[in-house]
Amino acid sequence: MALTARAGLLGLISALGVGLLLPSWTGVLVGTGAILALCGIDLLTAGSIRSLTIVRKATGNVRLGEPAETTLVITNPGRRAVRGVLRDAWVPSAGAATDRHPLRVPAGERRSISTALLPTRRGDRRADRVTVRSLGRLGLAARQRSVDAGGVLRVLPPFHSRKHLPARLARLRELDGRRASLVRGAGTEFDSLREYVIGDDVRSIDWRATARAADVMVRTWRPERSQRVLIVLDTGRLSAGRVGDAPRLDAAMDATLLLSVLATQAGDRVDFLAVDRRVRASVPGAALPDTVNAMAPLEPELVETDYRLLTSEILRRARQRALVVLLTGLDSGAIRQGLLPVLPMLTARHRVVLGAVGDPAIGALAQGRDTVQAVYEAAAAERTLAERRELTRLLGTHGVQVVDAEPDQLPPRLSDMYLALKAGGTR
Amino acid sequence: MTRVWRAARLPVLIAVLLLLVVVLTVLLRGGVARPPLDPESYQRDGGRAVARLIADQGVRVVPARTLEDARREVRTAGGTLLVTAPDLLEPGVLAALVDESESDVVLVQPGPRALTALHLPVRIAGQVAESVREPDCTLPAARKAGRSTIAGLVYRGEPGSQSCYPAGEGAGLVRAERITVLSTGFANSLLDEEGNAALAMNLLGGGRTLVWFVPTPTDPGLGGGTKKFTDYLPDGWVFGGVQILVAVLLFGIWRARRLGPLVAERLPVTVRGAETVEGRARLYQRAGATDHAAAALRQATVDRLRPMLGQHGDEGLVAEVARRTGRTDIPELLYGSTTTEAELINLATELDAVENEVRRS
Repeated sequence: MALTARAGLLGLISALGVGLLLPSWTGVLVGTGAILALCGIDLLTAGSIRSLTIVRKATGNVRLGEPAETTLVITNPGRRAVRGVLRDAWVPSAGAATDRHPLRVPAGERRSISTALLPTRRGDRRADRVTVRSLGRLGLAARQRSVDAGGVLRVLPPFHSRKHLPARLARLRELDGRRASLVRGAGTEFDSLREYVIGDDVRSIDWRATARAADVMVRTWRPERSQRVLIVLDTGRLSAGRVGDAPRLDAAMDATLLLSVLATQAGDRVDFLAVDRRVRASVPGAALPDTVNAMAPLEPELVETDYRLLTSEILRRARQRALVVLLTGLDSGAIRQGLLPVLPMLTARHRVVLGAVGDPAIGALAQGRDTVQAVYEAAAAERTLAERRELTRLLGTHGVQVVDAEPDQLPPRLSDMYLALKAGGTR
Repeated sequence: MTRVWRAARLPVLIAVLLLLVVVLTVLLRGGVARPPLDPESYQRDGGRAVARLIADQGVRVVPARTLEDARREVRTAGGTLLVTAPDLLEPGVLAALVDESESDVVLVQPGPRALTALHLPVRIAGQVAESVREPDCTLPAARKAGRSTIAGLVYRGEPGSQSCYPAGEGAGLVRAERITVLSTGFANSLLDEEGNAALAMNLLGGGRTLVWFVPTPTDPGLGGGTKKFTDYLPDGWVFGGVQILVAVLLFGIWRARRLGPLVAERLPVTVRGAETVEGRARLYQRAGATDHAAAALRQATVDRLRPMLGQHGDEGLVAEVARRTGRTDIPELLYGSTTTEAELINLATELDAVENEVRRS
């Protein structure tokens, strides 16, 4: 039950009546009783909300930053029209512009009400209960009820690095093209023979074919297809740090998306894995929509990543040699005590690339010279950067290539690294 | 402290101003204001003069300013009772007081309620302006006094009473048994005119004592109990107010009822990426670790210079940098020691300068 402002106004009018006409306790009793009686009658005339059915149409997915809409269908099987207000409550980050809607459903009919949403956070944004307030004929009192109509809006990562994709795909086609390979190494497949043109490496001349043909023939190779790429996302504490206005995890996701699209285009099989102390998400043979969907609800957890678990999961998934792209942070403690002890198991079987999100703020701090505090900050920043360089070097000695880049640079740099590996044919 | 003062200064200022106004008014008014016809009051409407005259005649004048005093004095001292403002007393209380007194009672300008409560055969006849009237009756006190000043309410005596000083449709003085109803007073300012003083002395100086009761509105014993604030308000206002409270309650219920529950959301943790760096900088600064900080800055510069110059050994690097920049302080700059913060800042800028020079060369 709920009252409206009209009930209060009626109270003020009755005060006038009591004061002028019947200034006694009887007057107060009569005035108050009259208002309550009117409110009661009004409640009885209000359309029934108990029989109202509220169903939400499927809301679906939306990329972060794009608008969405959710629709409720309200059916009134009762004998009286339902007139009043409806509130479709969502969590604040779902970005509902206005969640209150006027409601008027005649008896036996149905109406749909749409709420515009503009989510401000990635992940599953849930609807709260739907509240209906049905006003009486006089507009003094209303019946009110909240029902759970369900509803989840899955907000997908935005894939900002999509803009880098055309250039990388062009490079991929170039690789795939009829260029004579320098070396006949592992990881390249024999493609075809063609005539020698100036500029081709003389080492790629196929002398047997030249002997059979009138011209000098060269062998061409193309990057091996159907390799396995395993992208591993560390969702532990290292991914929680906020760089700019998004956590490191979001930059890592962007890199994952760009890389998986590129690798899929290159004919490789991409698997996706997200781990901290347990496996958060796992998509084998990931098509892009599946990966995006699996990533959407991931949030950084404030726990130390279990690198032993991470390694065993990788080894369990990739039995043949694969390219393992590990997206984590360059933190001295975590790398030295967590990753390095288990790294040989990985590098023995797979090629490992480590992607880390650097913070431009640290670079800016390292430039500070104005005050004593700024210089101390610069020194601390330099020490951190030196540590990162040292870790990069250390990982290099274990055969791990490191891509340490700022959030917007990580996806293209990681893709370039992949293309370089592809071109080199090294596994 | 300043915040507390800033918040409090306006109320304090207002309080001080109020106090000043009160003090000034009291000082300018020249003493405590007394009600009209007070036996101690020297003011124009006071009764000091007549009280002194009566006292000079050998009558004991007992002033009473509270109901309690008046009752006690009437019981112990007896004698004539004068009530200067009978309307300030509850009718029942006035009647009880008059009953207790066994001799003459003089009431100054009683209203209708007081007259009915005392069951006097006297009604209010009207109101007259201040004027001098003849006694025109057989009452000795009036006849002896002669002409007197009459002003305010005048009364009509019904059979069984004596009326003097006719004015308008009534009379300025009505006596019924031992109770005298008097329309004008005997204020200080009127006492020297006509027979006013004589009339007052005849009426009041009859007994051995005179209980002079000056009721005041602030007397806690008045009316047989304290009146509540609401007793002074018309009923319409009181019950209208109650009904307004009901309306406020209804408005409250209107505002209090939410349209559905509040929605809570679990927000992700926010850890700034550069937080550890800043924390480490503060640690350096608090510990005064200039040497650590300087070492970090030097190492960073060396790390940047080395790939540029292609030198691996420290000595080779120093020599190459010195050759390119033409500076002689390179060894201490790159491998020296730093103790004060001023030196640290200096070192930072010098390192930048060297690096730029090498880059340019």
